[in-house]
Amino acid sequence: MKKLYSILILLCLAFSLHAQDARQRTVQTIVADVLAAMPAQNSADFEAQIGDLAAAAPQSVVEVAALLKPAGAGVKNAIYEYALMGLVDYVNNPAHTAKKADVLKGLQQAAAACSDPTNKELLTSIQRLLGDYVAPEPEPALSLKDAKALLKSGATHEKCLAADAIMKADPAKAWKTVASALKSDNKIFRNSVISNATKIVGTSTLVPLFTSKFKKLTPDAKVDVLNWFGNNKISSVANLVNSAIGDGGEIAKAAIAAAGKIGGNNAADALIGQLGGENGADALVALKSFKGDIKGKVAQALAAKLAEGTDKAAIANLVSLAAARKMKDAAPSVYSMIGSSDKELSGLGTSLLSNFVGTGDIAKVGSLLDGAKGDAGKYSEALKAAIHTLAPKDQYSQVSNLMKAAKNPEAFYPVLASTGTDEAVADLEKACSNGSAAALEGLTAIDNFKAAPILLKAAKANPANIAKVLPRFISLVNTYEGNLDKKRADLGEALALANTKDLKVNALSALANVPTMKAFLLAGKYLDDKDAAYTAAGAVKNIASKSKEEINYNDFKANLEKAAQIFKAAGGADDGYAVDEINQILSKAEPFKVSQLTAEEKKQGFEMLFDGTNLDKWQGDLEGYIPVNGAIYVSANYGSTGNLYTKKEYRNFVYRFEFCFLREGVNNGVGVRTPMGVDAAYDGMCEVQILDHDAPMYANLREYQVHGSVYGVIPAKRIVHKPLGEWSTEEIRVEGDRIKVTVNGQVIVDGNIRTACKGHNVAPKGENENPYTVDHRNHPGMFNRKGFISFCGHGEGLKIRNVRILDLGDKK
Amino acid sequence: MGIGALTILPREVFGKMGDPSSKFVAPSDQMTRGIIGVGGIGMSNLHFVSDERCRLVAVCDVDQKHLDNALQRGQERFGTKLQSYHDWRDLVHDPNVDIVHIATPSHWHGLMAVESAKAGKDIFCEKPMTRTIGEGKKVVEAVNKYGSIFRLDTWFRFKDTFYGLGTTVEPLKKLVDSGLLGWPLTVRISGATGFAWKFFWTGKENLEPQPVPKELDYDMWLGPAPVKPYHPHRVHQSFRGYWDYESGGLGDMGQHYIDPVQYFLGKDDTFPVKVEVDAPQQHPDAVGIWRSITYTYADGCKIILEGEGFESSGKVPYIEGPNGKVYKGFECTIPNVQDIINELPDPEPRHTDFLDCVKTRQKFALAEENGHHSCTIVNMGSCALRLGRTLNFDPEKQLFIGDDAANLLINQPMRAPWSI
Repeated sequence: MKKLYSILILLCLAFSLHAQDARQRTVQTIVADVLAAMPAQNSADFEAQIGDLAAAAPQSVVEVAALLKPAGAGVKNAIYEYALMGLVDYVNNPAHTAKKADVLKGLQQAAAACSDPTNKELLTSIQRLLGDYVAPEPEPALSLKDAKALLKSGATHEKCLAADAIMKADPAKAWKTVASALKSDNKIFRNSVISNATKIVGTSTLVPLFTSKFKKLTPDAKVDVLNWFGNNKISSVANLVNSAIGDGGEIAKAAIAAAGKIGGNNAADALIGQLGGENGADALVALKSFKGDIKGKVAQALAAKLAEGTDKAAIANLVSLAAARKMKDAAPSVYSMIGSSDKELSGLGTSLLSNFVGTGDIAKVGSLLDGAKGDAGKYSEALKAAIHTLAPKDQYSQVSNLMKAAKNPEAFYPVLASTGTDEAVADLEKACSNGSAAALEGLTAIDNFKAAPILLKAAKANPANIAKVLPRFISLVNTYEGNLDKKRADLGEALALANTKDLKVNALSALANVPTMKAFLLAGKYLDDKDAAYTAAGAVKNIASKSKEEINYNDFKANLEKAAQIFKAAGGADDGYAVDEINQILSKAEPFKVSQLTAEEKKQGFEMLFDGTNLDKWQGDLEGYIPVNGAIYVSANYGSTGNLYTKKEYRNFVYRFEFCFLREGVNNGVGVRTPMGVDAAYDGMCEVQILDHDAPMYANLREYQVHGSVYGVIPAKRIVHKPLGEWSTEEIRVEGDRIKVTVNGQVIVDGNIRTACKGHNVAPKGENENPYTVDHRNHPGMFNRKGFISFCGHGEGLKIRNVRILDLGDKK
Repeated sequence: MGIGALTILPREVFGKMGDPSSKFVAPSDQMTRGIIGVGGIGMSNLHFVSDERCRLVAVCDVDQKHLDNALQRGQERFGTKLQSYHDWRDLVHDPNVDIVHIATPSHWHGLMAVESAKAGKDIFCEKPMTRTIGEGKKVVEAVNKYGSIFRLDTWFRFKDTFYGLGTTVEPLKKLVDSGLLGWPLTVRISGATGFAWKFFWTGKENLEPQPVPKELDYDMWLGPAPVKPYHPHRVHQSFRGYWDYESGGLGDMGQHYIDPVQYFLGKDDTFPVKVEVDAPQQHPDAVGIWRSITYTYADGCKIILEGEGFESSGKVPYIEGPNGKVYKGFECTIPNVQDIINELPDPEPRHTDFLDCVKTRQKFALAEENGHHSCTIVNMGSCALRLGRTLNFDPEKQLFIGDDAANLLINQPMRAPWSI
């Protein structure tokens, strides 16, 4: 019987293994397959991989665990740890508990066999996770006897504990504990008991107790009870609370706060009544957050107080309350204040007017603004508020119309600016060029990036303008979208003009959001600036973490290390995080190798033109071609259609370089014997094409356009480019009329330009269609004696390194 | 109770002789504070301060270098010799300390907060509040039982624009309360809405054991956490990358970002009922990255944390309801929303001055109960991440439903002899 049973089990096991693993793999193979896929990148993979492993438990568990080595240099246990913990998580999933026993068995066997203490502990501790959840024992309650003793003679916190235990033991009598706590002069104890009693018996039991005892309580206890009424929003005690306001002192303050939270008509009246007194500020806070419609009451009270004309404090609080909650009902009172002969009242009304106006007030506010003396600022705010719900173009036409009829149109400039329209920019620019300071002021307020160049011009023209216009210039530059390098360049302008700490900080903070290499270098220049070092450090860190462009390792390291020092010295909490983040970024960066001539090249007399460190032997578009980590990098952020030229001119030479494409469809070229600033393909001897011709976008390419072609003159043999990011070598040999191009060791062009066009680089009869060149174009520069060698940019995404040349002289 | 709790007399005995209930009154009614953990945030300019209202009197650290640093800085800044402790229990029981400021890694927070409450202290605790949901529950109980005032140190629910969002929480609260967006709401905390999940707080695998520096008491640094061979990356400024002590960027930033959401959604007294994760498999020791964590409340409100890969996912609404969306900087699809908001009452005033709360015994704006709730959201996320599966939560029992392994993560046993 016993035997039969085990055979059955074996059969079942075999069957289940077979069912689980359709591929019939051995356990070793399963383990190897799963480990190769660790860690799983998503839950579906996890289910599949760990599911396979679990199906082969316990043996799979033992096999994986046996791979764990004692931790040490170069030891990589992580994939085994992922697999083992994954098994535990998998079988703990309520959906997969069937294999739990087998995984546990495997872990037990593995732990028994493991001799390394750390790994043994891992195997043991994850076994524990397979156990059932047992709720932790609740802490035993204090015995009633101990609690009573503590309540008498314990320290405050022990009394709190005791009272809580006593109340919990007999909730029906909890009120007794509360009643006696109310009499205690220990505020900690009193509040603790009140708070815990609320949890034990609820508010309804306590309300009658508090109401009946309230009168006899000490002032301090009254404050606690009033706070409790408010926090629990006990509306039934509204009258008690409202009348406690009359008690004055701390009680009144607590009652006011409570009345605000409880709400209700009477509370609103009581609180409004307090706005003029010593508790006016508290009442104002309570009313600002008062739930319910109090517009009518406030407007009425304001009108009444204005009619009396004596209680200025109440008027001030009422009108600021009405303003804070935009109570339009109070508008008539506000206009009457503005018209008042009392300067204090009219000043207050004017300053708050913007809170009470709408489109119906445009004409009225417009005329107040036109006639304003010292209050133009307030009235322009009010006019902005009156038009702000209209569409920008309607805002503009409203303001424009008002200005046409106005005696003092300049007063409207701030409002004109608030429309943010292109028309407003144009109007203000015109006025500004006529010397209007108010118009310049308006331009500093306008939310339209078209104002930026005007502001920059003003700052450059007159240093006195800097403080006024530069902050706005910076914030407008910050709104540029897309062209990151324009942003960087404009912030560079701002930094050059910045003459105060605030301005530098301002510009650097904006620069921190420009994730380019040039922005990184610009920010780095301010790491030694005593005013701006901290902000510059933040910018350097932020750009380093966000930039998708490569940044030169040496600059990267130097600036980040400096930034880390600055954060360390600052010592704030987030500064510690910043240091850590920098260390993390630096740990991923790698130095580059400087390119060097081979021994043979040295012997032959090659000269290094670009070894990765600098472009000292180059001229032309040094903004668009930048040395980064050993390569010239052509980045779209800096414009990428410029040309880079050698400083020297050459006739015969061997030119060698390496290139790689960073994206599909890269287009560039090597200009030969070319003057500067022309199209080398026509006005130079030629342009040897650099092109990712494999890109789908070039499906219809002519043969004389593929990579290596002498553009338009001699087609190259078509090669297949290496994958993006991999480097290729190229050599261009030019001697007399001969040109030879070799890529990755393969000769793809070997020809003579003169014979290629039968000597007719230009059509014999001066016609446009040249029958002798393959592109039928004229190539007037083809027979140049000499010229520069160039890179001809046609877009981003190219890297070039290790550029060297052997000058063969001018003889041939 | 921690091991070998010291039997130091309660501070009251230093008050009026013979009347243990009278509270010791410090000169000029100034309160006193002691900081546990003076390596990172505890040494920051924000917290390493002493003023008229509250004097810093004691510091504690298990790294002698940190302690020496703090003593020197105390001398320079305040011209006094601070009381220094190696064992935090000595600071907690120091009768001259009114307020215990917990600035250690979070695997200690729960234990220290409970012990501080038991010693009759008020508590200022750094975020995240606790490392497990069970420890949070214990803190709430102890603070209530012993009558302490507790403040959790994150503040975006009542002050400042939080990180990249470009608005304070107040207008969001008013807008949500107004019902204009409809219900339920979905909140996205994402790189695209201005929040960085700081994935540099991930752990390292395959660590090579290193000798423990002589200034560090590693055993006491670990405390309730399991013993693992020492490596400098496990401690001090990079401890967050290990599940034993915290939960990476989620633990570090989660409560900062989630707590204000809990507040404006009005969920201070409830918990999500479900958490789902999209993440690579997590290592048992080293915290890894994740793509998203989604929490769902019983009423259908959702909080979605978008992590790796979402930084540049374009314009994403921060809050989305059936009737409107709110983007970064309080940009809203509801026309003239600011005007509408202005007419509504402000949110109910809250107590945002901790020292004032200590005096008036009123609850701080972010205290044990709401703090435990938002920290539980963080910890639910780390449980689901570690297990790599969807978990359902019972808000009443504060336990996961039908998943023992997940519940083991709620109440993780501490390394003996520590217990909470």
